[in-house]
Amino acid sequence: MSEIFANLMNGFGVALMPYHLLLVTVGGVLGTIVGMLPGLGPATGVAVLLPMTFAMGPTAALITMTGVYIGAMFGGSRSSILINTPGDGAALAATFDGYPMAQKGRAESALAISAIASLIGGMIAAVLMTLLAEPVAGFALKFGPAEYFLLMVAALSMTASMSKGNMLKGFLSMVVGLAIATIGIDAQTGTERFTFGNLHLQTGVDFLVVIIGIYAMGEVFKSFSSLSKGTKKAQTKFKRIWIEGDDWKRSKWPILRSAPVGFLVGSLPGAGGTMASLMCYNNEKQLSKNSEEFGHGAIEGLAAPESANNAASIGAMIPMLSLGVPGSGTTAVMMGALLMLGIQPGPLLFVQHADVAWGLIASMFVANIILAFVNIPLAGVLVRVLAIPPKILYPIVLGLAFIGCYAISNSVIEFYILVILGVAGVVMKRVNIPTAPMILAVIVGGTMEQSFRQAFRISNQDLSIFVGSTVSQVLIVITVLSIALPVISMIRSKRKAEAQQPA
Amino acid sequence: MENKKVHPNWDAFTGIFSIGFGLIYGGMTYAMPRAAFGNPLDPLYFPMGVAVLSVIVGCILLAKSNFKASVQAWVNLINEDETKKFDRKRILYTCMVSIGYALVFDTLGYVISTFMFLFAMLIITSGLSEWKKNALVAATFAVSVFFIFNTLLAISLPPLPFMG
Repeated sequence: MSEIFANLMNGFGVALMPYHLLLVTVGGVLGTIVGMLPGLGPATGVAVLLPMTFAMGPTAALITMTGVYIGAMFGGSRSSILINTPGDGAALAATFDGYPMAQKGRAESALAISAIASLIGGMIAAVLMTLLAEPVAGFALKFGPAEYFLLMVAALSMTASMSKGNMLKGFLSMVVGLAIATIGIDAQTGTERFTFGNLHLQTGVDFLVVIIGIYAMGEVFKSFSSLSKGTKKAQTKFKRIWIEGDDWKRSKWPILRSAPVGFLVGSLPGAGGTMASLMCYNNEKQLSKNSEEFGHGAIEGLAAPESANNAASIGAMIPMLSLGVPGSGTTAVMMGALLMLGIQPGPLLFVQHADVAWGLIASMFVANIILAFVNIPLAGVLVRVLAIPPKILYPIVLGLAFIGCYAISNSVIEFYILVILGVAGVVMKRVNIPTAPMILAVIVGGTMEQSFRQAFRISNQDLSIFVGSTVSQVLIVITVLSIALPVISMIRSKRKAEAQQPA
Repeated sequence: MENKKVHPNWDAFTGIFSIGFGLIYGGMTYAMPRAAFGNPLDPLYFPMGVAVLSVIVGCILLAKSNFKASVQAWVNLINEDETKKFDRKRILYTCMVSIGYALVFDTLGYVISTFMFLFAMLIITSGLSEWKKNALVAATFAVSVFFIFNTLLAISLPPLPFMG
């Protein structure tokens, strides 16, 4: 424990340097602004703002991206409260009571409690992360290639299975992602795979291009439909933004209860902030004495999901940092940022780059505090960005997406790939195929294959290596359960529906 | 008489795509050159597994789906109202403008090509009537991003042609 504390203090030493404080604040403000833009949200925000860090050193870049990441989470709910349009899925639950509060003239309380709940949820989750990240990484250090391969199989399978009502399409998305990950020269044998003779494809398709293409380009294409609808008018003039009356009394327990739940749900691959916030909203509705007020502006109905949402976003960093397996679309982008900086997340991160790992964890504490300070008094200024008409905003996002891609490889070939992926993103949305499994598969696909082949080689091509250890067996059981449980629950609900139907 | 209403969905077409994708990808994997050293089939195992998984997922999707529902979804797509059709046209125009952007990016340099790209995009999204405002937004974006990337972030972008 004392070692963890010492490491964290070292991390604070890095995160609290004036230059890093400036970066986390700038990143946080930009993240808040991009995160609150309807339809864009945190994943796109982080992807679009990533090129900003290319010229920085790894620690400074990571601290900036942490600011952007946490800022985007804070920002996601601003538009939920003010214009009833969530910045991303995780901010959906904030519309249920946040928007009714704003309509009743309590926007100030709603904005304040949202920031306070996010701060407390984020801080509790950061404490849990401090305690758990290194032990989890330490445990994962014992993994051999077979266990590592199975870990990724389990993570991908959980992500695909949790695609609500679309499990098979989730798997299809994963398959396409894995196929993209195999493009390029095979690192072990030098064999060219799926390059179609194109020199540029020999290095493979950069996962950041996939992320920017699917999230930024795809989201803009999808948002074209809202152009005809125009901009929703957001309130931009406020009284003092703070809670009043018994707001705190009603919110404190929902906030404190929801943070650990959010953290836990967030740390499961594929579950993420949306599930965490909806789950905590429902929990509070059941526990509350004022459950009839839920949906009509109950402050605890806003506080609970906001706390859970922020805690989940930090929980999602656990599998990414400790195991090298991103648990959500946004953490996949964050992992992309790390890889871009030449840092491989995973168990060895805490050994080889302890300064980076602990600097990142410490900057989560710092970012949460700074962002609460930014978001409460400056909310009135920041939300003015919601007044930018989408018809100007979306072309600018496209401009940023292209420059981001160019900055990655200094080549315009990526522009064509970006267009193809943008169209793919729209088609996937249209036919109900989730994109998160694909993004995750693109990122972990390469490592997954290498682990598979290493295991296969050291066992002299004996497949029993994949069931040899207890860890492997547990991971196989998790994979099987991740597929079986949704199927069983689907069959049950189908039977229930059939039984309820009149003969 | 049974009169079940078909809910349009894309499951059957998605299943067919998945099978097709798996077969083509698997075929390409099989046709791939073998590794020159080590186990010659080593680079093939993983992609082949992915291809097989794709075919399996496709078969299950197809078996579970209702083909009529997918046909209905296609019919609905074709018969969508003009606003939605116009949204799709916007996507098509954006793709065309983006490809044009890629073609002139290195030759014309970042500032000019981005100004043209953004101006065209702003016309697609907001029409020709606000062209002065659009030109101002496009010019401000192109110049400021060039300055930020080239000067502040030290990421070199193609300069203006006459600055060679």
